[in-house]
Amino acid sequence: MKLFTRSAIMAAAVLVCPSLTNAQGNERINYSEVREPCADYKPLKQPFFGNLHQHTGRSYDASLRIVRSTPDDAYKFARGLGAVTTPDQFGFQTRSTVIPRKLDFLAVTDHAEFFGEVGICQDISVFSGDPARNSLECALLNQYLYGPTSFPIPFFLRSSASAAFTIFSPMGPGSGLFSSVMPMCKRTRSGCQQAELRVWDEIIQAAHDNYDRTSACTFTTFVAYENTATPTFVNHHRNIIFRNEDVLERPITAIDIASRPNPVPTRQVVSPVLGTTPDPTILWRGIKEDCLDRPGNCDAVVIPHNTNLATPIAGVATLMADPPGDTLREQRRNARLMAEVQPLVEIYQDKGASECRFDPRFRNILRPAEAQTGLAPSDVRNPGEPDEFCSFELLDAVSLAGASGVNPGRTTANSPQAFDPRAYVRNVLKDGLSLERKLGVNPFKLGIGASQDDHTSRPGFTVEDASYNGHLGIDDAVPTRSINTIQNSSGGDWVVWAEENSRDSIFDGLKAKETYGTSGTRPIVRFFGGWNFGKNLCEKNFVRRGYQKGVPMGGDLPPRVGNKSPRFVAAAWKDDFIGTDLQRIQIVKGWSDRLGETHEAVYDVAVTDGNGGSVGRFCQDRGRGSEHLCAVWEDPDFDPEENAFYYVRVLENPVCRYSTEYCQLRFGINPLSDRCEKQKERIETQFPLLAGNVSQCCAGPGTTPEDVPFLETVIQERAWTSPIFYSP
Amino acid sequence: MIRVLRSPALHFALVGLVAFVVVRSQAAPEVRGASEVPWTKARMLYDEMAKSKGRPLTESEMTEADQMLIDRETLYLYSRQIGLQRDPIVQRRLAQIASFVSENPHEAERSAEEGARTAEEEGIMDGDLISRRIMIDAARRLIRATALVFQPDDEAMQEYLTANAERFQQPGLTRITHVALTGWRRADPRADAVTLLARLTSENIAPEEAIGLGDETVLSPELALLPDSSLERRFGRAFVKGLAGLPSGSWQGPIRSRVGEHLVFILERVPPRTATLGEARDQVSSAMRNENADRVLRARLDELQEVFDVRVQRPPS
Repeated sequence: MKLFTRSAIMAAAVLVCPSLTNAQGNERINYSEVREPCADYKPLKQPFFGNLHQHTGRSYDASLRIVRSTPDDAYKFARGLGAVTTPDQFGFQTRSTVIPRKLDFLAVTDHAEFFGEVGICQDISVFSGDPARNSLECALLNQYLYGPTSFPIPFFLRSSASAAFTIFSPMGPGSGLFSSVMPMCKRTRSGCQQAELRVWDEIIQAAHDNYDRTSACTFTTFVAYENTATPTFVNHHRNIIFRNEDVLERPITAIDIASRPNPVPTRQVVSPVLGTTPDPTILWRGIKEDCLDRPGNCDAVVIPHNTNLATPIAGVATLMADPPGDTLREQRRNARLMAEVQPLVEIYQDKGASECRFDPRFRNILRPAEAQTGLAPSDVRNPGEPDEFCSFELLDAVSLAGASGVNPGRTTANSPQAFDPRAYVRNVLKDGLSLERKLGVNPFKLGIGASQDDHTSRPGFTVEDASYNGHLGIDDAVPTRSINTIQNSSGGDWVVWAEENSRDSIFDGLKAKETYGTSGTRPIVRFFGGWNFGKNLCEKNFVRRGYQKGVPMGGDLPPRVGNKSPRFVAAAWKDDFIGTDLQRIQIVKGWSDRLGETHEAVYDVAVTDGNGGSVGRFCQDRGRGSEHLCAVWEDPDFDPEENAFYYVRVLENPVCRYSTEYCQLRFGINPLSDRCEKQKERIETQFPLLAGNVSQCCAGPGTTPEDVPFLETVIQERAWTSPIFYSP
Repeated sequence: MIRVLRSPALHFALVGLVAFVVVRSQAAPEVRGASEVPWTKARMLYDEMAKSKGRPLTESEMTEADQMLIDRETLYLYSRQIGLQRDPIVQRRLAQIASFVSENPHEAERSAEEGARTAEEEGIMDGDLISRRIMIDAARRLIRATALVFQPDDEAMQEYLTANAERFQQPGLTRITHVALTGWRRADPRADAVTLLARLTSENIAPEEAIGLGDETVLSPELALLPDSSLERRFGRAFVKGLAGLPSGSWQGPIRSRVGEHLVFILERVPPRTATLGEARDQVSSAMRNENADRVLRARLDELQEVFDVRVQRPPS
């Protein structure tokens, strides 16, 4: 009844589109759909905070963790129109959350693999009669396993959810070869295909219903999904975000991009599946041919995420691998395709940060440069000092085999050298410069943002306090229970500079890479680069001059003027809702020298004077930072023959991590106290039922590789901008 | 009286009544007689609710909890009455349980229907949480669905919108001109702002002329009519709070923002208003249909409770 068929939307779009651009009475934005122009239009752009990575109960790995909410629920939650209910550790839907601060935009990105299975198993029609509903897979997906008469046992429930995840994941997303649908779809292939389209329709419908097309422009939605290739648990995940409702007929899934198609798609081939990498060019080409290049208004971007969980295993390539191809020509062609279709990357989310990795546990064991993944000794500007701010929300696992935490069975930490350099975005950006020298095209000229990857339909719930109660349903309903969950973060925001809050304006901002990511707070960050900026630009309207005389974040510096070095203006304003002061603005430079070797350097360009920012033993703020920082900075080591990038990192004053406050306020255990272990023992003795819940409360940053898991009890929230690029 | 009779909302409510009649005709319950929700179940719910509230339940909360238990049990009995246990997934589950608990392994070869029948006869179905949940949900959906399909007409929606205006509010709008004074060039921008305010007021300087007296910032000095959310995006939360309640038509301030101190001239305020039907059609329709479905469900539950006579067992004395 509720389904709004895609064909109807498409037909309406096709009928109306030829006259859209001018008929809307807004010459400022070329709308690709029917809508009213926004009343609040700002030519010098405004920051819109959103999330481009959100799951609901329509994702198989959320459903099997007893998450029951829908795409519509997620959009309503983001708009502040309703509460979302999530399961507690017993699997009961007892937790209700409302968003603390509304979002400006959202893309629901459910896993497209198993849409068919999910569609059949969650079919709510009475007496649907589809025999596949009786399958074991449906029992797993719906978690109809406990009972028959007993009270649900939480340990069993979580184990069965994990078991279900392990059964589902390798079958479709998990192999790079001969990937397959689940056995339940063997006999009812057409039923599964219809169900897949039903779920895809529901996602489009939810985006349609929740998009504000009035001139108030209060909320923007994007049709989207996630391609979840996970060969041998190496993370090859990519979100696909569409500009409007002119989208792919059906999503291109991980099953579609297997390096060799399964000759009998309904047959499971268990071996050989290890050590094979899926073929991402099938996805990129599919997006290009079936969306970008076909008649109509289809447009899309592909956004990889969690490079931090993509260290190669057993011959599987990393997520951010070189452009594929046997010849230079083929590599160049694929590099162009990547640059066009995949212009952005997610640098931070619930499963940790992917900017860079400095592991303080190895500070006294390895040479300084070796404690930072992918750093050459010659990169260390101040001898003995790698980039220590890289020690932020790091996961101990090298892949998803640890279910986003510590690798199973490991009692010591992986050395920084055990991680592939391209597991971190800064190194990917540097290698892009080298590839640009080799191929003439930079396939990694990436814009930056952050999101959540929440699986409970709670977009924007990125709180850093005791109210945070996980992002994976029953699995981490008490996040302090396990080393696999306490390392998870509370997620971030994707910020887009755009003229107005409409799909086309924000999507244009995404394609222009005029974006930044935050770790969950909402500071405002501006960044411009050019050749003719005055030194006192901070005192003026540097935004207007920034656009007139230079380029914003995500742009390419225009051709060099005379013998000048580039100048940058970087400014940040604190989030005055949360209220944490700013500590510093840094500019991170990466470059490729004349030999093609890459380097990096980090510059403090604006630091609060005498900032003694820290937190007390009970998480109270100590010391003041700045409400606003701004600086004009000129590259002191600029070499016009070296291609380079520059991005801004803004650091706030230290605050307690959510897990610290969680243990303090919920259990009376203080991770910042020397008596933490004693407090924990007391709770375990007096309240044996809580023993499991507090098991990780005293985990801390650690000083040796034996200190597992890695956990910062106090963090510095931050923002990362898209880089500004320079090519000779 | 005639006016009331002509009310579109009343007509829509009558549609709900029709739906109710249709639901009643779905199945006429035949089984009568008292049914009891066990005390252990009631106590478990009380304990859960008390735990989540962090205090003992009040009497009205306990009554509410009892009603919840009675409703669920009633729906379960009703679902059995109309044969929802024949849903394939329920049957399959019951058959699996029946074969699992069976003493004779050969019985595992029975058909799903036979297995389910055995489970029903042996009372397994009544105790199985999952089967009960599926059947209760299905019964609830079935009753509500009968009312959800009726789409209210424009006249009824307009009446509903008028009666529930507070639920469909559009935000208020404000148009301001401001003069910004920043800390980049000034030692004490707040003191300078106070001095400038005195001058603007005493010399009666018009907004368009005053703009040049402030510092250049990233914010445009003249703004369109904007809601608070847009102002907050530009100036920050503290500024929007400071702006609330200030009079229009004169220079006010200073108010602190992200960029510094501001003197503000409010040119226009548009108060919050109710959305038009065109703006809120989907939300109004959805709210009306859901309310109607809830009414039909409640009415049906009340009627079914008389038939099944469900009570909550009291604690053994």
